[in-house]
Amino acid sequence: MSAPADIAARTRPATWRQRAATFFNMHPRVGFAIAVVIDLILFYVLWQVLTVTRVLPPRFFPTANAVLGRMGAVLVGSEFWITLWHTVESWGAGLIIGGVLGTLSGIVLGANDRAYRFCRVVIELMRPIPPVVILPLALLLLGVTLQIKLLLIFQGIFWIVLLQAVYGVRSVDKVMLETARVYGMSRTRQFFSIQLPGSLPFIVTGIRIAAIFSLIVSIVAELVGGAPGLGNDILRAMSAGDDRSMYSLILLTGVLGVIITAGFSMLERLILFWHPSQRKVSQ
Amino acid sequence: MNGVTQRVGSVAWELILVVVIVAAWWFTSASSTNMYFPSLQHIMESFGHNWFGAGFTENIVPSLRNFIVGYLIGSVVGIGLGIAIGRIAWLRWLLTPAVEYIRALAPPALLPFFILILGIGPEMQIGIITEGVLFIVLLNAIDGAKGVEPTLTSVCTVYRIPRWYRFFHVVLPASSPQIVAGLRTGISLAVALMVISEMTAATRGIGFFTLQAQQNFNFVDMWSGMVLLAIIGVIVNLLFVRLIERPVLFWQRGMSGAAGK
Repeated sequence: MSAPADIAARTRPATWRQRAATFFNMHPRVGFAIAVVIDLILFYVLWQVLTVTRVLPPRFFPTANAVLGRMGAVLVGSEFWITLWHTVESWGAGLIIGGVLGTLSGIVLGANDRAYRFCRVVIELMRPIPPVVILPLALLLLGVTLQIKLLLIFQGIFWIVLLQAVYGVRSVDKVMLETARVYGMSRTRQFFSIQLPGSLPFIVTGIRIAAIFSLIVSIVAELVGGAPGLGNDILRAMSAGDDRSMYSLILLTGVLGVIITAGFSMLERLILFWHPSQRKVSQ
Repeated sequence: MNGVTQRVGSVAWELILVVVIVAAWWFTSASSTNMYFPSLQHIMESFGHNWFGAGFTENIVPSLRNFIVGYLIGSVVGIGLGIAIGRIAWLRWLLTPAVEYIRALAPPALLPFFILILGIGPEMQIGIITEGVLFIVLLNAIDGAKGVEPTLTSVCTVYRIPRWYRFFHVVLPASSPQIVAGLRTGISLAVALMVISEMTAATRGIGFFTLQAQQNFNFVDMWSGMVLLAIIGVIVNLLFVRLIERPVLFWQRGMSGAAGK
């Protein structure tokens, strides 16, 4: 290609598409916010049109307006907030118990290779067992209580958090530890100044995944085991033929999930602000 | 000689705990009179009786069929849609909030919806398994496809490499580590959803059998169901690593090793 044509191509004023692309690259949050609004409008219009025109059978699909009306009523009443509390209570308590015990065990096993290899097979065998499998036995022993939810959540998150902590401690640079030893740093100081911060990215990621799993398992325990909470209310609304409430509660469960996900991503950024994965400059 | 003994010793060291736990279970439960905790010997007898006879076609086959059909549909659709969304910038921008919302929505919360529209039966179970797997795989495929090295894409454009060739030889391999990660999460989710759907609303299947046994106070049968479900969870994960993860990603470890990571 001849040089003048090349220059002409480069100096041609940017098309609106190019400008939009540059703008969104520089302001990803604005782009995301616009997409949120468009998605909400699209979802609403599509749902409303498909139900009003009866493309979706009205027996199963109430109109978007009807569901929104019910959602308003649900949010105003006190029953929903009590249900929500049941779910949030077990979510939080389960996450704390499983998270703390998993992290502590993982740190111990991560720092001690012999101990880790001693437990490895049991961990690998226990991890893929879905929490719902122990539900029949747990129902016998504990009945429909908060404890049964906590037990299921424990099975759902403990192994994940533990393995993340193990990988985290093992990822710490050996040379750094040996340097610390050579300089006579105490074992405690080595742990708090090198091993803990070094493994933090893995642990925090494990906790973030566990936060979502804890919610999912809570809902499973409510749905299958009949413990009070959102999962149970969704199923009861369905059985009672109250499909408007069912859709409202499903959509609100999604909102709870979004809040938890966003909250823990933010927490991750706050705790790991110093880590390369969270810093734009280094990428 | 010394190396061999060392290796045998290290394998034995890894297996001691499992052997001890199973042995402890076997002997402490041997003379059990507690209804809830029958002896392991009885559990294993009922395991053979329940699952290797008529129970195989009656309960195991429908469970595994739903699992496999739902998992396959979910994976194929998820990979296809995910790569399309990941490669088309404006579509990715438009759908990111919707995809993030669905990621945050717990899959079991949709179970009542599937019971409502599909009724009680294999369609409902396949439906919920497909939904769960589809979105997990979709999310990972989007992440994988958008991360394809831009230079590779540019080179393809410059050399006018046809789209289908580009898809199978550049985009798919480049996004495969992420897709395989999604497929692996999907397999655990699919097993869980299989059991959950059977325990909530079904007339056959391993999960149905297990919860039914509990409600009829057949605690030995209940235990045999729980043991089988645990074994399925473990085996399905192992099979995935052996048959899919390692063959598909055999090049990855070598490559990252060469790069000195």
